[in-house]
Amino acid sequence: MLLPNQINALRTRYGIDESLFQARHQSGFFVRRYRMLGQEIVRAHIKRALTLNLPGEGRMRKTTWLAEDRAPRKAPEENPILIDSFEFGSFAEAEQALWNYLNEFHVPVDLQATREGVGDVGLVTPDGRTVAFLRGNSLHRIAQEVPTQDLGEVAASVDAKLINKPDAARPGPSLFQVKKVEKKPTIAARMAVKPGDEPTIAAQFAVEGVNGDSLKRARGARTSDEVRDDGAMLRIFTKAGWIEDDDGLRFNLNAGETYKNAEIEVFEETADGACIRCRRTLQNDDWVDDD
Amino acid sequence: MTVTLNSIAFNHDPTSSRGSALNIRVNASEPVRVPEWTKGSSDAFPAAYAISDVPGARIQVAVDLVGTSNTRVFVRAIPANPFEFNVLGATETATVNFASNGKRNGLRLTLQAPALAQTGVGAFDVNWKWQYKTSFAGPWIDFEMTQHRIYVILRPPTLPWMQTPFDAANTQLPWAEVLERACGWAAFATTPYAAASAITSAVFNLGPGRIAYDCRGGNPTNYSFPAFDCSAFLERLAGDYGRGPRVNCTDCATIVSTFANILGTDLWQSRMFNQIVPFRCNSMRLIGAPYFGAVCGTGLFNYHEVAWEGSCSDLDDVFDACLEVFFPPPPAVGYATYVPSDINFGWAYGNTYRDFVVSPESRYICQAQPTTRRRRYVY
Repeated sequence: MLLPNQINALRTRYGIDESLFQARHQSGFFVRRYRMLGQEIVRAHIKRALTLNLPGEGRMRKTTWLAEDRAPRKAPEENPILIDSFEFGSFAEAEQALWNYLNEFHVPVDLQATREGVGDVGLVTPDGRTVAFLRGNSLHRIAQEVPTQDLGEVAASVDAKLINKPDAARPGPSLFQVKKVEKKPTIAARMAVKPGDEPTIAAQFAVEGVNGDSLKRARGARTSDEVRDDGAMLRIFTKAGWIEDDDGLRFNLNAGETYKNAEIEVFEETADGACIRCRRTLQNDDWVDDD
Repeated sequence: MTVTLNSIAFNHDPTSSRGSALNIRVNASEPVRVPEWTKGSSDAFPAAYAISDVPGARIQVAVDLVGTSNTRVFVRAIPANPFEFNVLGATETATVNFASNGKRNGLRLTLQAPALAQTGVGAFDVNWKWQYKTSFAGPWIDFEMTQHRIYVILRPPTLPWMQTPFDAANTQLPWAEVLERACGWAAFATTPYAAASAITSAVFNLGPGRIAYDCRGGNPTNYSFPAFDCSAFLERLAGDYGRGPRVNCTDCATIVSTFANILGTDLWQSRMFNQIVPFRCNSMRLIGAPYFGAVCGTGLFNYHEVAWEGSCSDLDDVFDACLEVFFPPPPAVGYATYVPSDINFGWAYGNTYRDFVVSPESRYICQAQPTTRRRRYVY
């Protein structure tokens, strides 16, 4: 668990330049929903797969692999490659997990960036025994006790499998054109959901008032595959994006800049496509039924 | 006249651990079935009792019997071997009235004089001989022999272990496989801190055969990021690969606190560090290392994590299975070695844990960080 400002301390400790994360941040608002389902790595054996819901760290799915097609149980003297894949609900949670992991190095070490193109962000230890990389909403840790193979190559292979999966969602379209919004946020509707629910939800976004320009309305409809209610915060994870509502609606796009002025409508959709709850409005922190 | 024992339930009341065994499971994937013993089943499931729940409690087991319908018998269980220690002892004799269908289910038998409170922590085999007689003055007739594995702990387990809800999906119920190890390591301990100290020593002594500190690559946490892969650690203890031999201080702190807390101690995993710079350490022997020396050649820790009690502040005691230090601490010349356990974290130059581990020039910059305290989820 990181203390306030500890990310800055870790940046300094490991000499991590913000530019390392730049491409990732520029990839925008929508998160690619990568999932490690079990067929990604040829000949690999899944050692353990489970969903963890850790207080303060969110919900994640962790899969541990042995990158060899051999018995799941190994003798102590063997030297398998261990691959831990963590799949998070959002881009931001995965990034936070990487910082958490960087805070787990007990003695000082000079971490290096992985080769170009491995993950959005990738780091490797100088002895080549541990590689960690972020890709979208996922964090991967690859380790071998005695490095008999180039783990960078293994990481590149895992990453390639991941991004070439047919179910890897594509980034969303025109919403990213929004640069600046000034109004107070309005949330037109809110689902009644419980943590862990996985209803089908259509989320419709409307963002307006770009830099004082005449109204530019961008709309994108996504179907959510997960809804979580983390206390005061509602999060709707769409196949290619996320929204959150705590004290206001925030879109974190384009290099982490926070946009607070937006309008959003969320409505529940029945199996036949009809809208069964619409138009709830947030006024002075109270939800008002508007239907 | 025949009597058949169909089942024995130690945890016959999952809502209470007074008079009944604790709620446990075998490991992450296998729940314990209640009743723990059933006729015809090859294996009996284990049971666990907390010493703190014994005083004033009538500890009972619930049994299902089958006999001749509409008859009355007297039933008891006694140690199979009178010369062998039996932690549960014998049961009181109970009168059994068989119904017209010949069954008597849920019969509660009270343990006569269990030795739970006298033994301290332990894992025990209990072999019972079951007997009945048809009249008060009649001879006892043997009708069954049963074997059980019983764990005795100090208090009900603390987090991350839970007692509720008692269902197969709750993987945070205490694991029998962890109890087996923890009870062995802390055998006969009668106080929580004696148990935690014994576990600290036992974990340190796992090196270098099973686990070891490894300086290469910054030695990131291996078994406990972001939660404790206890299943892999148990595999490692059992002689399999697990997640390999490499551990760091976070792993050791997690192992010690998790294994101690299952016995009823109340420890956390918490860190000490300086937010700006790594701190310098005294010469020490890291777990699995053959000799004393500067930590990884540089003598620096980014942070250090230990099993810590209370609020994990300067005033609280720590248990550290990751290293062995000299006694007394520098700048004095050490003439003995010591695996730190049940020692106050303390202040600089207070001759406490901080002085044993942190070198004189870093003692003021290495700070307890109570906000990092946690108990990692176990899977």
